[in-house]
Amino acid sequence: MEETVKTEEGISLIDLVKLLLSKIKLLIVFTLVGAIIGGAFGFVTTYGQDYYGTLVRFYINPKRSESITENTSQYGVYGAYGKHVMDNMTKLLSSESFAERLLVEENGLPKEGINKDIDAKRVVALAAIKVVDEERKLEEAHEEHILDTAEAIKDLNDDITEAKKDESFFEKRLSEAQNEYASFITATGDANSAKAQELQKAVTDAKNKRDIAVDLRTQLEDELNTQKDYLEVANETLETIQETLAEKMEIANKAIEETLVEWRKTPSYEAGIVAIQNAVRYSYLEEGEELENANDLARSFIRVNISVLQDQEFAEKLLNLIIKTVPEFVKENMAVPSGYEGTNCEPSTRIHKIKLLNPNYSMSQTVKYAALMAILTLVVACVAVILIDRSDKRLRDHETITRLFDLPVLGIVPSIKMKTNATKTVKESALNNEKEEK
Amino acid sequence: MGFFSMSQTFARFNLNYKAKRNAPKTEYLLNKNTPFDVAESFRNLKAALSVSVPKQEGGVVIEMTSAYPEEGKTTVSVNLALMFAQSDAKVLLIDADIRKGRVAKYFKTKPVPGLSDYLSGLVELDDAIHTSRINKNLSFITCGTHSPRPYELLESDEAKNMIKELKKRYDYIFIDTPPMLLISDALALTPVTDGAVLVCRHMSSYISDISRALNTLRFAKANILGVVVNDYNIPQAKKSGNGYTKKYYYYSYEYNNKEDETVDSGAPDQPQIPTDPAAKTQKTQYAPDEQSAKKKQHQ
Repeated sequence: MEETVKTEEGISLIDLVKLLLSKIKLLIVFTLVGAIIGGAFGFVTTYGQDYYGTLVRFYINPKRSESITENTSQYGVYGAYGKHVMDNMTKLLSSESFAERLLVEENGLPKEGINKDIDAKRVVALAAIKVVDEERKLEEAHEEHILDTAEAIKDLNDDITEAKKDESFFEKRLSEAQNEYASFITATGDANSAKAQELQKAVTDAKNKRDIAVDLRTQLEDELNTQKDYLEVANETLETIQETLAEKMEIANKAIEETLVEWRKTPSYEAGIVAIQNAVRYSYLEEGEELENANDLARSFIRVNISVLQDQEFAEKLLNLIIKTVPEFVKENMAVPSGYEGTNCEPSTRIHKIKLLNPNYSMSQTVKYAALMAILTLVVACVAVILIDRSDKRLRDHETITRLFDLPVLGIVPSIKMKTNATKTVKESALNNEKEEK
Repeated sequence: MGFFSMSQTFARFNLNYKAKRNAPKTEYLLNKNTPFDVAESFRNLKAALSVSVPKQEGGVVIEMTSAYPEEGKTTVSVNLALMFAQSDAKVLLIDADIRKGRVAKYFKTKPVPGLSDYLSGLVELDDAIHTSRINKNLSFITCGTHSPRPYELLESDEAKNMIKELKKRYDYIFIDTPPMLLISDALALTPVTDGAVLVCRHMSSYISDISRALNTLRFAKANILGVVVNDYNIPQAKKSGNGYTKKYYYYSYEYNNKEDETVDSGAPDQPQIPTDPAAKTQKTQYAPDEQSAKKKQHQ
């Protein structure tokens, strides 16, 4: 009956190595090609990919002292915020609203030139802001004036007090002079004597002085009343101004908000936000650091990493904005613990400069991709060689016959390349034979 | 698995195409220009066959077959027959591939009249047998006229009787059969043969095809003598990672052909085949009765 013959052969590691070595040239070529392709890919994708940026640290502490240094904040002498607080602040800084704040001008409006509609709204908002500014100036002037008036009233009160004292004094002098004259007249009965006239004169002087003091006091009191009336009117006016200012501010804020709403719909807004969020990273921990306990923070700072692709100018502009805006934002939004006055937020004292973050990046990536592709290509080529070799089930050596089929190999006829000569020789001999027969 | 079978199919298609494209289709006959190693390989094949066929009375019938076409079966058959004929044995080569026989091309003769004509009763046996001009000990029967029913012809009693008759006349009968995995004609003559030899081609025949061919022969109860590996390419054998062919080709020393020209191997104007001096005295080893009969005759 039919015998089943084993046709599958196992392959050992040594055979595999021999097979790969037999195709070493092919593998080398593939590896080189892979390295070249990988290197080219790495070079093309990373050429010109220069990143500009820097690292800025802002030290944040509850305000209890005027000055703050890196060392003191680091060792928590002036207190530190906990993990949750710093976490929330970091998230706020990373949010779209803070990125928007970096994009707008000082007046809270976007820059000019986005499109006509926004520019029109911007003009309206600017006008409203201008009005508010004027009202504010007026309010400030009024407040100052009120302060001056209050100061004047205070001075007048002091003067009136002094005047009253003087009046009392001169009243008393007059009384004494009158008593002295009356006594002399009573005693002497001589009203025409020199003494009597002298005493009469003293009485007259005292009376004059008393009258002057009274007039002065009366003037001061009239002045005081006038100032008080003036102050009352000024306060009323100030209230009116403040009400007007509030209305104007509301109008201005509304105009600003309308402008911002329109601006937020534009692609330039989205692009700006994305550019900033991609370029800036905020963290309250050092690189690689982890906090297990929420209260582990002994110092609190915000670490701002700026990294901008191919635009050094934008990076420098962003750095300046961040140095200016982050402290303002932190102070506005950071919670103040009880017993503290506010929040301190200062950038670290070293000089911040934008620099090239990845020198030789293109070359390193080229080498990296070349190596990766070379290895990958080599592995794939090896696997392909092995697979193709394994899939080649042709008869490759005569020992296979004996090994698989247990049959003798009766003969091995080598490949012959003399076909032309053989045919020619046979032909010639055939022709010779024909001639012979003839 | 699907991927591997697809890759194998692709590899087989690709390699088969290349094998067929690169396979030398030349019908070559051994002559004095044949490289020594080729001639030596046929000599070795002859020697191996001589010792592998069973001892018996009458001629030895050997079936030469292959799994698929273009594996060198006819070339090996013709040259093997020529090698046997060179040692004074009476050899007959039968082209049993009625559909596409090529033996006639080797001998530069017409295929008719041939085997199919005889089996169809159109010619006599002697008319179908041709003597080779290269060696008078070698005769051949070509395939004959194309027939629509070759298997029936080969399976017929006439064929069996023909073989019986021819065994009386010849020492060796080589039957060049069609490829057995394509058509079943080869199996028709298997019962009347003394042995079967499978010819396969190096770096062309697939192991699975060889296995199927051998299984088919076993199923037909053929006496498989062995396998002949044809078109063996030494550099390719080395590259396959199993290179150890040196011992098969460089253990033999090269003859100086000029010294052998004096050995008589046929008519002077016919191609001289490089001979082994020992081959001239080599007789049919497994026909002792005939040998002793001949000895007595000479005496």
